Amino acid sequence: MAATSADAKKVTLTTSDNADLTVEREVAERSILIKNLLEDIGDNGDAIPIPNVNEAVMKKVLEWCEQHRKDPPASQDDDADSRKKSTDIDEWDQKFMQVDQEMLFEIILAANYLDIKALLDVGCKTVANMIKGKSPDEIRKTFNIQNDFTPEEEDQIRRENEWAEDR
Amino acid sequence: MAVLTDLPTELLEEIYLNLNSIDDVHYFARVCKSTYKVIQRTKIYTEIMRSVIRQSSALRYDVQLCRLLRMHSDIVEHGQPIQVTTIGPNGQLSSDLNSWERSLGLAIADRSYLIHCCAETLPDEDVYEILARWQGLRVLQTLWLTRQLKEQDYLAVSDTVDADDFIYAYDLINDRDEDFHDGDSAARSSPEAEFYTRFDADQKGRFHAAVTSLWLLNEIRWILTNFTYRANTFAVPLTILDKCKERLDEQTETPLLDHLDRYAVHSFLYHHLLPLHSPTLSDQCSSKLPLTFPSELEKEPVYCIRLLQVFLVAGQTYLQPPDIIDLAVRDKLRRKPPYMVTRLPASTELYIRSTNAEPFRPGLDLTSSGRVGSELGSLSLVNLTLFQRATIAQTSLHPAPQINTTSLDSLFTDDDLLSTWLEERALMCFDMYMRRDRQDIRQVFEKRWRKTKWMVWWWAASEDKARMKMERWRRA
Repeated sequence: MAATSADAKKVTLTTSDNADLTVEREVAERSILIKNLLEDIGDNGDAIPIPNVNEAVMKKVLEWCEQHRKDPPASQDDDADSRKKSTDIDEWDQKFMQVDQEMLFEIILAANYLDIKALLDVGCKTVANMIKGKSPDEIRKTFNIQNDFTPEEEDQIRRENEWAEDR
Repeated sequence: MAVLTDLPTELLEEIYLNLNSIDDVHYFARVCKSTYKVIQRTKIYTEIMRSVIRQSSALRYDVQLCRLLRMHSDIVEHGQPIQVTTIGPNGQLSSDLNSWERSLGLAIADRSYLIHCCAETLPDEDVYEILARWQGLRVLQTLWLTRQLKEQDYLAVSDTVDADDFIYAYDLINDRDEDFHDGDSAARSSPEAEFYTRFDADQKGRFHAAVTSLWLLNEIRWILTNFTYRANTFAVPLTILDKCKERLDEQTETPLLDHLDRYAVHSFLYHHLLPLHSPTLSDQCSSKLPLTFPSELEKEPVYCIRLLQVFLVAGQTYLQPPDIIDLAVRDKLRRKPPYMVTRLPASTELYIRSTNAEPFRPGLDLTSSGRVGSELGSLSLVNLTLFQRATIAQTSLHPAPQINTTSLDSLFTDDDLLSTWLEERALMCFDMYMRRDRQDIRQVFEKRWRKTKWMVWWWAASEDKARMKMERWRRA
């Protein structure tokens, strides 16, 4: 059996703004969507169109894929003390996620579209950490969200879920 | 331009699944219509909450508590003392552990929901119960924040053996509370406490974990009081107790902080709220003893105070945090027009004390001395023994000591074993990393703690800060 040289295998991705990005296949295959596509159509050297992700976001996503190219596939949760896990984001990922909010949500949307579970997790955890310990108003301020409830509606929701809440 | 609200529902759901507090979920839902829409489906909402319970540090004792409360209801239904498995002369168990003993051990040990979190390991009904508990126990936080407590606001049975001092200390708790409600004294009495008007998310979590862990320990104690007891045959329940405590220790996150919190909450519930609201249950028929006592303490001081002492100890065994809330609410109603008499309903009484192995006769005068007083006194002693032998402060190697049988003309000298145990646990945590060149923390702790325990949530903001503060006490 002939030895395959891993470094030779490259694929080209065409982003929504028509930029061609060439990366090693192993890196691109962190995306289950791309992996499945390559398996289905075979690697004929054609560029793969990624119509939902623009160049800037795709570059960022590929940076993450490059860093995590050797990660083992996600395993079942076998750690008994899994409580701590949710808040814990590894240091490199934390730095990686220090981007403006617009980019953060683009990354989450891209990870979802490209089917990169671990990146999606990191993104959602980052957002969750920005929510923790904040009041509804503080969350709105953090994410620049308009309160579209009437005061009556908001009161109703509060009473439904929080009984005698003070905030 | 992507913003949070651009995310589709399933991604918002993913974010919800990474939250680890009930409040965070509710606050996020209140942000706008698109975040609210996610939790409107009951199935999703329950799933999110199941995930929160698994991840939340504040709720880490709640699932076990659900199981023990189910066991509590089963024991009430069973309606009679539970036989314990005995150990034969050769050291072997006389039979396999019975279902009650197994349930008790398993209720604490089974943590499978942390690994596989699904409806089987954590049923929907438990999720809803935990949600209700989180909201319901908030009342205690409100009560805590209402008024800064000073050392005069606490009374433990072991504080004094002098009848006059006891009455004075007991009355003072009520007087100080009334002064505050009449506007004669301020809500905060030290300058730093002026800013301590609410708990942040972290403090709320610590408070809940402290209350539920204490409740859990108390439930174990309650269950043990329903086990038949003979000194030579109580080894199996005590071994189960050892195991339970060992398991619970593994759930400790910040050792010193966890123990200080729990100790402070214990004092608040049973040395402040219980004596403060005790008048609600006073002057009932003698068959309600030990959960009643005479309000006219001066009439036959020693006899009357002894019944109050037994009441305060019985309260620690039978009255759990929600019962204390119930007592506070009834007390409030009792003090305002139309001055309702608010006795506990029979169903509550049954739930609190399902098997009454040593009943008091009805119709006795609670304030009597002489023959009736002696009868009440000796039966009180039997009850104290019952509480003591179920105390969680003991281990299978060191079972609870016998109650001191004082003469019947003095107050009971009952040690508050649980309180002492909680204190010692905290101090042992401190000892582990203390500086070696200073005096023993035990020489200064009690005096300092009395003055500062109400503020523990603030000065002990972290394990390190708590340790530093206590180190300063040793130096002073």
